[in-house]
Amino acid sequence: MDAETKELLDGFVVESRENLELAQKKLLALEESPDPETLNELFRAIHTVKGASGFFQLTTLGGLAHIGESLMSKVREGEIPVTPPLVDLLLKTTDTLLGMLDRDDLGQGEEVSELSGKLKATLEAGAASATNSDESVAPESALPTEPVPDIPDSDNTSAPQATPPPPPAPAPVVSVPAPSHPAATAAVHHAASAPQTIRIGVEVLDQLLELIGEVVLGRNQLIVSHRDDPIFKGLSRSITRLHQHVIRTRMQDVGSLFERYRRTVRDLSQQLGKKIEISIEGGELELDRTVLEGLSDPLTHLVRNAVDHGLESAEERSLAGKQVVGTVSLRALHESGQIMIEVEDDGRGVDIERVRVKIVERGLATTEEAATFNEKEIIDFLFHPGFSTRDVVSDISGRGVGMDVVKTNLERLGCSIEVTTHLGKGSVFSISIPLTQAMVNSSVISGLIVGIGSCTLAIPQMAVNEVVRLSGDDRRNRIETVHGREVFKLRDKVIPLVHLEDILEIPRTYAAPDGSAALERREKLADRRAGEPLSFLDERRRKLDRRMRTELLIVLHYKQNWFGVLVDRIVGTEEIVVRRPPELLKGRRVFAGSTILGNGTVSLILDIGGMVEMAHLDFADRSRALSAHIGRSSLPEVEQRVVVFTYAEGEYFAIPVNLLSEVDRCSIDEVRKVGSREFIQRHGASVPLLRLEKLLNVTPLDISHGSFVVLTPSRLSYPTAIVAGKIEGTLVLGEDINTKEANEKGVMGTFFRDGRLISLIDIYSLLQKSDPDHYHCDVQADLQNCRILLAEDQLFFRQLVVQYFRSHGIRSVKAVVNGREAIDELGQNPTGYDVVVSDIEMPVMNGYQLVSMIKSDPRLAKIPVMALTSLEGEANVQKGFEAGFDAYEIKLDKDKVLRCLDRLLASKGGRKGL
Amino acid sequence: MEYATFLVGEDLFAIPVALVQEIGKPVEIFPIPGHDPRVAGLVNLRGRTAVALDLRRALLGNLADAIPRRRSKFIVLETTDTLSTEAREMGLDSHRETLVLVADEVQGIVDGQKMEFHPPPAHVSERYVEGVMKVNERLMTLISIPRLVEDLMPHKEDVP
Repeated sequence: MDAETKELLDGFVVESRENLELAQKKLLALEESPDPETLNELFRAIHTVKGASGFFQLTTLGGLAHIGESLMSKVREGEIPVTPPLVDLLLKTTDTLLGMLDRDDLGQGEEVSELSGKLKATLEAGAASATNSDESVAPESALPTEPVPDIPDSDNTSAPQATPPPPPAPAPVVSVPAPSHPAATAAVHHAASAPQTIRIGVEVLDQLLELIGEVVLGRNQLIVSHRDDPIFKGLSRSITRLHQHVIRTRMQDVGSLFERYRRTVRDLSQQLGKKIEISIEGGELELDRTVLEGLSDPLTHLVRNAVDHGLESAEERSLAGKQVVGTVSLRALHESGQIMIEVEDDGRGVDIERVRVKIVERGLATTEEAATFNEKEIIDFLFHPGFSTRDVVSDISGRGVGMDVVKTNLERLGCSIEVTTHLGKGSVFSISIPLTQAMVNSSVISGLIVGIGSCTLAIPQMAVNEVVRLSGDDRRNRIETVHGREVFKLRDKVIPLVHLEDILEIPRTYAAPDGSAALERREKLADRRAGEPLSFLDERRRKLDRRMRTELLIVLHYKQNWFGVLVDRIVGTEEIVVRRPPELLKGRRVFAGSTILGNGTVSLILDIGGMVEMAHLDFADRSRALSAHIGRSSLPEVEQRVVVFTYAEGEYFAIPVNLLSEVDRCSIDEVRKVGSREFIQRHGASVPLLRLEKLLNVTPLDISHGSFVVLTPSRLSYPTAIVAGKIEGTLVLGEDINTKEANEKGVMGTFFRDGRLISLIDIYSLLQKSDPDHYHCDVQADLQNCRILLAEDQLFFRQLVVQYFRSHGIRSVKAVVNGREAIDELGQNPTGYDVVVSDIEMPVMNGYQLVSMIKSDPRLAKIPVMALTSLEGEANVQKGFEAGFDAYEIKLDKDKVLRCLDRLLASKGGRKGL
Repeated sequence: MEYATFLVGEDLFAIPVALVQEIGKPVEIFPIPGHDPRVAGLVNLRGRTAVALDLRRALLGNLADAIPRRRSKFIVLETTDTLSTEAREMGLDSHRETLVLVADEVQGIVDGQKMEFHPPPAHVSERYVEGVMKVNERLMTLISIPRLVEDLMPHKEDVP
């Protein structure tokens, strides 16, 4: 065969394969909802194969395709219904066609008479039922040269009404043009919707990635000096877009891999007679294609394992009280610097005791040894070569060669696998892919740039929890030694402490007794090699007394564990282009890659897993030892609790508990009237009473008989007491607060609890209305130009606080939902905000962490940060200031919040808001 | 074949000219913490990250500190991919990534045949020495870059 023909043939094979695979995917969806477009696509795919086979004289392939095409033609016209057996047959046909395309001889020698026979039979059965209907007009073949059935004579239709209507047979031809010219329309459709693909070598893409990385690095070095150049800005934007697109050539969404398993689960569960569904989550997550490919075999094994071993039969499930249909879930998610791929089943789980027995049976341990193993250790044995709990080796997966190969293959990719299981409930197999594997060369991540000695390093921001500045006191009181390891007391947690020098294998400096700094001499690797380190132990550093320097602790997380690393300084955060580490650095697990910072410095990127390894951190044992030693403390309460009371019968109100200083009973006798105002005596002073009906549209409360309740808000400049009818109790606010009712009149929102509508009271609006002389917000007018960044995870409070600001004319308020988004926003726009207002308790990154990061970043440190919280109490306020907050206010205290804002901006020196 | 010659300390060394991409003024070297000191560190070559080799340490060993350092020069090498076809045909090979040799002084180009280089004397055990040649009464040592790099790669015993 000549080169040209070979090329054509290759092209045909690739295209046919793609069309058939695509059609197959759609076939699976077909069972759920027969869709005409899918049927058309399937028809076209087989049709193309048939046509091209003729050109290349591939008679076997062409023959099978021909019958398949004929069958498809009838199916898409509705003559043959779409049933599961039909879908099975079509799947088998496309499978066979695909198989043939894979062979060297393109299926010429393949034995397909049985399949052909089945197809013919189905076709004939369909044709038989079809001849009974009048809709027999569509031609079997798709060629436009087929004679078109007669179109009714125009004379007939224009005849007077007395003439009977034209016979039904020809009419459909007029009104249904598509089937009569399927090829023409098929060709048009095909041209319009065929996916365009080209083949390209991986090396070309890799070169492209290298080059785009250089371009981005070059651009980054110019950003500062060309800040005001509009041409540069345009160029820079184009570069960013170009970069994103190029990265995408190497990345592929995990979903494309996951989707393949729909078929696997379907076929396998049918084969085994089980009812199993598949659920897919996180398919949009993107990974390097080679990693994705590497995951394919392990995942296939895990999925088959779940279907075969994990999930029970329908009867077993219903006997166990479970839903008859079992589920296999495939998930991809991002978590603390790792990408997790999980395969979960809600099946029987792993029977730990049975495995324990098998371990002894297989001779892998003695009975006594096996008895001492804990659950994790038992599960580890599942990955041992030669281990399998199936007695009969089945075709599916019980061969015992599976799990250990899975683990080895994953380790080769730099990944690890863990199993969590509950007997009777199911198991989760969790594959973790470290960021450095999942990342593509030249991808961009956010990096925290730190310095140790004269060395600059980058830490992936997503692994950073927070930064703590240690004072001398902290070093004395918060650092301890447990089992020979240094640890740090971080609020309620105790975390291992590591010196970055140790991880990097460079000498530490310490303060010698005479005040000068000296290097620690230790026998280590560098000593064994030729000569001494070249230059980074510069003279300046040697002279510094370490004791005088503020030490910085970076709290990192690795999988579920936290640890702290001591560094000398923080340079800032930067978006960095990740480059593979040079070959000469192979074996240094601590380096994930390198990058060039905006100022031209070449900085190595630290690998969190490598750091954990170099520091010999063994979290499993550690957590047990530490918790035994230190003792656990509970986390602070996050809930917002309200007191619920009734006013007139059936009207419920709520006030936040932490805004009240007193709740007590009162009787009408205690009430003194002065004019229209009412007072009671409290703590030696006359306190005015506030009646809700005077301010809100509510039924008046009759307090003339018996006693009533007064609620006294705390921290008021002019004490007032709110009248209530009866206290119903307290409850915790949920997210379900309707703020449409929120207005200036005193109600922040409404919600339902146990069928009752409860109105959440805004004390300060009420006070402003009832006592405008004393309660008014004297906020300066030019506050309006202030730009605020608000971090608050709860929707209700976010809306509320934004409303506070907007109601005072502040237009520029940007709200984000956690500390991480806030720091990202500040990173991109460091001069865009005048003040940051932050909640304390937020997921991903909390307020303490956020303010730490802001105050450690030279670009951001001057921005005032206000903590807005539900946490009351002296201890919390203290903690807040220690963390670096400039002010600390309670969320629901609008008046104070606005005054505080005012104060912060005034002290910043001129509220320009620019 | 032409050779690029350079001084490291007091000694003269040579590599095939075809391996040299450019000779340049040194730029900042960013050392790699805790690493073999024969690897000087990483450098930023117009947006590309390259590894710089400290030839004084790599070729002179313990004598490196005894001999005063002169002005340094950067010798930027071609990578295996950027080598010319002729160079490849001659059997020359470089490293997969861009390397920079930090030498003391760059001398001229010397024309010579491979066979003019004598095999290294018996006491020279370094694998990266390909041969020695007398040039103007001076001994010149021919270096093999791939073997030098191999020597510098972390070995299994070293990795903790």
